[in-house]
Amino acid sequence: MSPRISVLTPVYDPPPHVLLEMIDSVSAQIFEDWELCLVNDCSTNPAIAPLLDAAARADSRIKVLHRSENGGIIAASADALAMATGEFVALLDHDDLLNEMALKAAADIADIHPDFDYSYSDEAHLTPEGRVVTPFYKPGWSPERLRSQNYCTHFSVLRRSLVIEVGGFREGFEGSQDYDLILRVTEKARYIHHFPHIMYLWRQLPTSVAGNANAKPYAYESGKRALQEHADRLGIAATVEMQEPLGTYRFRRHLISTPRVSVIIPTRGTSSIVWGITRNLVVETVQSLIDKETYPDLEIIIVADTVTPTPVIQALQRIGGARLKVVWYDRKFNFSEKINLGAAHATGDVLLLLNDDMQVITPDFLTTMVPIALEDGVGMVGAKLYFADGTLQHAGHVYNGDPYHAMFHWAGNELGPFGLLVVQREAVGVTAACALLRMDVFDEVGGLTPMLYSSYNDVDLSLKIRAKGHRIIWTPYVELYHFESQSREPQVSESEHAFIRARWREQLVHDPYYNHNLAPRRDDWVAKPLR
Amino acid sequence: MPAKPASANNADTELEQLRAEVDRLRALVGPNEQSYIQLKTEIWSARDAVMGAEAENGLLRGQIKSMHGAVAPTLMMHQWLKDEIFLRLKRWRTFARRLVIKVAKMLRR
Repeated sequence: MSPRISVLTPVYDPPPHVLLEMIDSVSAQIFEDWELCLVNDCSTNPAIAPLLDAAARADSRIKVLHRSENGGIIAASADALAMATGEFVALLDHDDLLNEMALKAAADIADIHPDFDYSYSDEAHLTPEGRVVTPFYKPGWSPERLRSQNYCTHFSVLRRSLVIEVGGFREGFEGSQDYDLILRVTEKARYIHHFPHIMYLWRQLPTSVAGNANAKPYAYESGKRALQEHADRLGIAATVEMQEPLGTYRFRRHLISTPRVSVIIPTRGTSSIVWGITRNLVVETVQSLIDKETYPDLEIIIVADTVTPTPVIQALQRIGGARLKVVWYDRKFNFSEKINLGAAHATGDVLLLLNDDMQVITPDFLTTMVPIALEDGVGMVGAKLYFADGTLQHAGHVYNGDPYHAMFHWAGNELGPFGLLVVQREAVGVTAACALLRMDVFDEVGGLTPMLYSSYNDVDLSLKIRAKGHRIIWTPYVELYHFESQSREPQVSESEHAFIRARWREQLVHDPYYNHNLAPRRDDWVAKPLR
Repeated sequence: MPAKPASANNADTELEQLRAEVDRLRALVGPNEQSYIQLKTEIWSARDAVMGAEAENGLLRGQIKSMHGAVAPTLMMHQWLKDEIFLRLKRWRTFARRLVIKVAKMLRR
């Protein structure tokens, strides 16, 4: 037996025709056991009250409450919640529209998963001319992204008992009351579901956030407070900061402890021309690390091929001093083996895998990466990498038929679709060119796979880490240049490609943070055309 | 005056040699030490210019990339329509061919 779903809609002065369309979109639901709880928050337009009453007379499932005074959206939402009798509540704004399948989909999931507590769906905007634009095809459940932006928003369906348990809508979070509620509910939710379908059309009115991001500036301050309280409730030592674009936040974790970090840099001491000047790649990498990083307990392990020129080793020892160790590698090139060898010599609790062709941009970047990696459930942390021309080399992996780097070669200052490139978020994988992980995670997955001697070893490592139930976080707040493939010729062997496809066939097609509405074999979140 | 110990003599000789080497290097670098600093400064400013030029290039490349992304749905739609039209034309051709054969048979009877 499917549960009843109560749709909560506070109403305050919408254009009457828009309100009618909203009510019609609920009435047209294929799922029938719904109730629409409309709370008229003292609308000043005299047409609204009779319109609501008429709707209630026409369908017994529509309940209307007229507030005696205007209490604002939170008071009206709380009243709507008090009217609800359904096992689940759904949030719908007075000017938006539901897909006719929206409630059916939620009810079906509730039937299949008895522990279903929260769901959200994809959404799109509806222009005043009635065109459906800017579809937002969202990732699967991504708690870190929710800490960076309210990407869930619409269409949210929540278990009513849980909403009441966490305190319902709270005063003081005007404009971000949904964000605050979603954060509190998801902290306790047992099963969270994402519907990868556009279930919700968000109308672009000049007064709505969909039409104008500056429409409700107070909402972003409320969002920041909601996030800060979320961090405090979970005991995460973090400070929340607003950033551009509005509606995105930086969830900056504090460095509480400083475990030793062992930086593993495989090299053969190659020099190359970067920005018109010949540089020794590994020497410059280590120099930039030492110049930019003041982390108190750092160990640098250089895994050097025996062909590495002596002056390079001498220069490294001069720069790195006592905290630099050189481990010799005398076999045929194998990136995975070199990393594993370096890890075997590491004494740190945390490993930073770093290529030898990097240049650190962000000062003290370990203070950003280490606290994330130390958090329960996090397996690995990756960074934002740029080519020498400033285009994006790495912004997390995308496994969309094959492994890709997200937004590869896009301009470094791009925000990305829906702020993708400026928010910290879960990714299916990150590159081992700069990846931080705890030693226990590295050991748990058995390090890198030596069969993948050149390519895809980071894809394999990422998928092994995820298979153990850990999350992988990509952060835009740690930036480095990566002069990729300047130390070696780029090569992807057929055997490695075959190996990775055989081992992770399913996972390379179903990236939980991508969306099946996006075009396959692309890295840029381009949607399949609407047909 | 006591004679200089042999080691002091050696040190003096080495010092002389080093001074001569410095002079030789200075001569290579230019008329004065300032030219070496100028040379280094020029190299770094050349590097900065290359970096700036590459960054400009990168911005353009990035813009091209994002424009490719922007036109991709239209291109995909175009391809889909082409395929669809082609498929429909093929169906109509088959239908018409069968119809003609049928009519021809009927007429023959």
